[in-house]
Amino acid sequence: MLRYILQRIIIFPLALLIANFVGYAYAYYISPIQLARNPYTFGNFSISPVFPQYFEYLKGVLQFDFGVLPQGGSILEIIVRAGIASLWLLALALLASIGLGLVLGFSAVRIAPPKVSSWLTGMITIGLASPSYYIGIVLIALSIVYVIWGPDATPLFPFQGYGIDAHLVLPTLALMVLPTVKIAQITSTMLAGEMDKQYVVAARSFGHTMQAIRKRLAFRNVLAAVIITIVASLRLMIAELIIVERLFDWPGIGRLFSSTLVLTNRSDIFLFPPLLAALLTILAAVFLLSDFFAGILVRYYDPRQSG
Amino acid sequence: MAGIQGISAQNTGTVVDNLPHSGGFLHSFRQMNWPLIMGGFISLFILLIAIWGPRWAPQDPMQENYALTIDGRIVSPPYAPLALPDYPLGTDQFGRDMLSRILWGVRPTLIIVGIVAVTRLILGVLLGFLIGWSTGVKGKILDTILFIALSIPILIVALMGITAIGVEKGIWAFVFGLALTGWAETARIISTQTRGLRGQVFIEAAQALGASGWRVLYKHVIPQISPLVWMLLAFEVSATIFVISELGFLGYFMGGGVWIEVSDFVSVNTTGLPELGQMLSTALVSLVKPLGLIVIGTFIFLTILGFNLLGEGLRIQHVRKLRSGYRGRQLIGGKAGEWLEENISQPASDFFEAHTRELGMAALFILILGGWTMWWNGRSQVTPASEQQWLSVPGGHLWATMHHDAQGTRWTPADGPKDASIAWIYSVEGGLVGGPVVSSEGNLYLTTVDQRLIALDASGQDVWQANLQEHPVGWPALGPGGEIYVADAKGGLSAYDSFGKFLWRFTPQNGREATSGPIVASNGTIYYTRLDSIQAVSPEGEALWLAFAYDGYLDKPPVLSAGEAYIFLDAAALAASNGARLALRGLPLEEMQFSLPAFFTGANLKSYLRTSHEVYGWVLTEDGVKVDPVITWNYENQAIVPPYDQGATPGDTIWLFYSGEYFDTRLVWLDNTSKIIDNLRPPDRQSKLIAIDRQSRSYVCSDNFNVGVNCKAYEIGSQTPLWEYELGDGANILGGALVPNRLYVSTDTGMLYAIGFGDDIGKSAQSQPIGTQIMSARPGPVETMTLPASMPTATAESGSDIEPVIPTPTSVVENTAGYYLFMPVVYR
Repeated sequence: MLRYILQRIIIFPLALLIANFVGYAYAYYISPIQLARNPYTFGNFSISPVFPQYFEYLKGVLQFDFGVLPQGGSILEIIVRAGIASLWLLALALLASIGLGLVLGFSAVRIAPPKVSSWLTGMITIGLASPSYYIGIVLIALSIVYVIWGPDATPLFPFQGYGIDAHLVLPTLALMVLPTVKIAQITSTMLAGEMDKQYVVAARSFGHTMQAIRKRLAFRNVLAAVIITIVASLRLMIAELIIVERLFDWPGIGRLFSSTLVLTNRSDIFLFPPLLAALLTILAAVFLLSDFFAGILVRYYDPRQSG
Repeated sequence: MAGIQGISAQNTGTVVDNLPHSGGFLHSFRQMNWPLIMGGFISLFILLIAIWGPRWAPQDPMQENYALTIDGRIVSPPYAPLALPDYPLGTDQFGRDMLSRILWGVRPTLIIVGIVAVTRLILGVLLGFLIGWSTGVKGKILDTILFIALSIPILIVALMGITAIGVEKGIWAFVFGLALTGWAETARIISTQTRGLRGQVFIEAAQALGASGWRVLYKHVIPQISPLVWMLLAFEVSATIFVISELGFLGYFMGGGVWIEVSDFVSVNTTGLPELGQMLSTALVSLVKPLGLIVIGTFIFLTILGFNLLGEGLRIQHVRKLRSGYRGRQLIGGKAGEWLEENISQPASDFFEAHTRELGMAALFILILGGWTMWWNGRSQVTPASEQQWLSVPGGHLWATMHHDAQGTRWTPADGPKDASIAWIYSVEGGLVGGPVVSSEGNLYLTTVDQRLIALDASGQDVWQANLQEHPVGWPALGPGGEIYVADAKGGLSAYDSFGKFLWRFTPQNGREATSGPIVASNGTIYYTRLDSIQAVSPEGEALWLAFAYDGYLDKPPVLSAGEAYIFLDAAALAASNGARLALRGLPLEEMQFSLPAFFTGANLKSYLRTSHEVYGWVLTEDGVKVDPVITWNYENQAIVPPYDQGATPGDTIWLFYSGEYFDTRLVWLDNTSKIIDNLRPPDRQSKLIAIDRQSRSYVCSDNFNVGVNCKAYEIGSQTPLWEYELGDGANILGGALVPNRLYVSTDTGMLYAIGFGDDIGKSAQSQPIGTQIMSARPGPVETMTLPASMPTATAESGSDIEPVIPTPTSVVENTAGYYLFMPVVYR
């Protein structure tokens, strides 16, 4: 375990630096190419080497100066503000999908013979085929139907804008469907597989109930896979934030990403090197940290992984 | 989201499936492979739509209905599903039938998805084998790469990849963006399976018998894993549709769409033929009208569901087989099911299993061939010259007027010079006014500032000179019989024969000056511009008519329509016979006053109107103007300056030429479905498009003071010039002429450059190389002939020893309007 932690601590700064440089260099080189594709931008878009500029930027970063946006405003402040907005959404969606996914996964395991209930298989099949924009738009349509046919002319939950209140409901629902079905899928299939093993028969012979065996013995054996799936779901949700925040007009990291990367938004910050570098660094940090904690948890719950 | 979903049970090695056993009907029903049946049915239905969808479409997918009257009530789009009898799925915000658009849109979407999915599958399988088979440090490095590829969300990678390549590059941007890390999920599954097999006894036995690693992999590992390929392909297809739809939602779809100005400084993004991603992108207009998004989203959801089910069904089939050598459960019960099982499904299954490698190779070959074909088609959509019809020049002249012909096409059925070899340079003291025009014999005619008309032969030698009575204006023009016409500053027109003999001068009644050189119709009528009017003069020098075109100082020659029935001058369209203004109702002229509309004639014999960045093909029929669908391109929201010039080649390819003092040059080639064939952007300003040759090479000259005066030749699909020639500083380009293997360029300082040795022009044109121009280099030592201003007028030989090589028509069809359509041309 200690070796694992030390390895990761060494890798962390290097990985963050690489992500930061990739973001900066990508925007630095692609931005003039994009400008050159526009027939009505003037001048010759010659590209000078990135390193002198990058080192200047890096000096600022080391002093916690991440730069200023073209229209003004500190990048650090904007990212912190957007990060907090997204964090609410992510945390709520992740917690809800873990809870619901585990409950669904547990409930769907059939014991004799060990298999996954068909109702969950159907649910998983539908869930895995539903992009988050589709779920979001269906929720919005339902809200509109409610406004038209409901008792009063206001939607149950607002479907545009930001607020740590009812505004969170629809974006969270749109964000949590895919992770929920993935967690439920892994939990149920792994548990069903475990219930077929010899130690379960042995435990039954000692008089344990199947319910108890599933909770105390089998689940502990599948926990490592479930944790890995949860971490993968977190990564999935971060990418889906780009879609969900755009749809629900949520001022978070996803929308910032969208403005920085998606040309059709025609934003002032499209391919702005310091901003894209900062966003990719945050992304890398979240991925590395989640992977780090997942690794520790897996090693803690599954001693077979420690060796 | 991305990657392969729905196979976790298989991934983890857990088999959650029961073996078949005897039982009643209900048990049999339950044991059927329902995912395979349902997935197969949906996938087959989607594939049928892709093949025959456009035929089934009840409406034109591009037909817009901005208002419909229903029960006397006018309603505007979007129309809801089932609201109108002819539009079961409703319409989009432009009133276009949603059902028809989906039926049309599936095919292009599935083509992209198919190419991307197969690319990802091939990469994933190959890398999966490599990762699974590698051990030691190499294995660890490959494992780390796989881990990184799996960790980064594919949506972000795809966005970055497509942005880098450019969405307007089409399918290859998507293949690149989606395959960059999209292979990882397949590679993970294949590597896990390969690792599992590596420790098996039969593998060890093969190694002990001396089999090499590659042989073991090929003979023993691949056959074990190959049954998974079809399942993986089904999952790859669903995963690719998933991401492509998300990209579409964000506005990234094939071709990138087109920004159409709907009013001043307001544009909407739309495209030509529908594609599902594009439909998603343009459907998001207002959240309070989500029906369009729901209809398209539901169709995409069903498609993903179908392929997911198909993959899952194939997985279940595979697992059942593994567990008991089970030969598959009947999909349909009863005798019909048994017959199907025995005669179709089982033999087909055995065949696929036995020939997985061969089928894989065949699929790879088809993919490569298909990809190459698409690339080739995308690279050059220009129809070969041998299959085209084009306008002829009366008299067979090589370059009859300022813009080649009376239609101003700039297109010539000749090949231009292949390099920037300079044949000769001719200099006139005092400067040139216009020219050259080039006769069928290869002789050149120019007008000078000191009121002379000069004739040169193809080798740059003086043939004759004639003094002009008035100061010349614009370029001379050549008549069908070789006559040379020169407009002048007094508004008159002078005619000379090909030997330099003065024939007549038309003297106008009023004093309006000529503001352009003339053009000559096939019946010999001459037209030229006089300030804001067009003057028509008969071949005998008599006034035919003078008609007002529109307010302004019009310094460009008018152009004739292909049939010579109409004459155009920018936004004015007149009858060529009497100058009467044409009533062209149905063309978007009035509402486009600020977009500098211009009529033009293509070398493909068609009439067009350009408004802003949009081109409309049109034809005047007895029922009024019939307008073709608009041809345009993604000119970005910032595009406020319309093209400087425009035209069409015989292969129906439209070109729009942009250039100016404050912005760079751009030449956009479009096919008649608005697909961008090429988007050339020379790094110059203030350029002129001199000519386009038979191979659709463009010859562009620029006199921007920053860059210098230069001429370049470009091939379609290349941003790098075929050759480049610097003319020297301080001059302004007047124009040029393109003849076989030679480009003539004239400047206002009196220089005439002959670039290319023009071997095909004739004997006299076969000049010896006197200096070879290296690309981007200054001119080498060249022979410069200077004509003194006081040189006496002379009548010289007509150049009878010249054997011009001109297009020879194989058949000539004369239509009632008296113009000629030259059918496929053969060159000597």
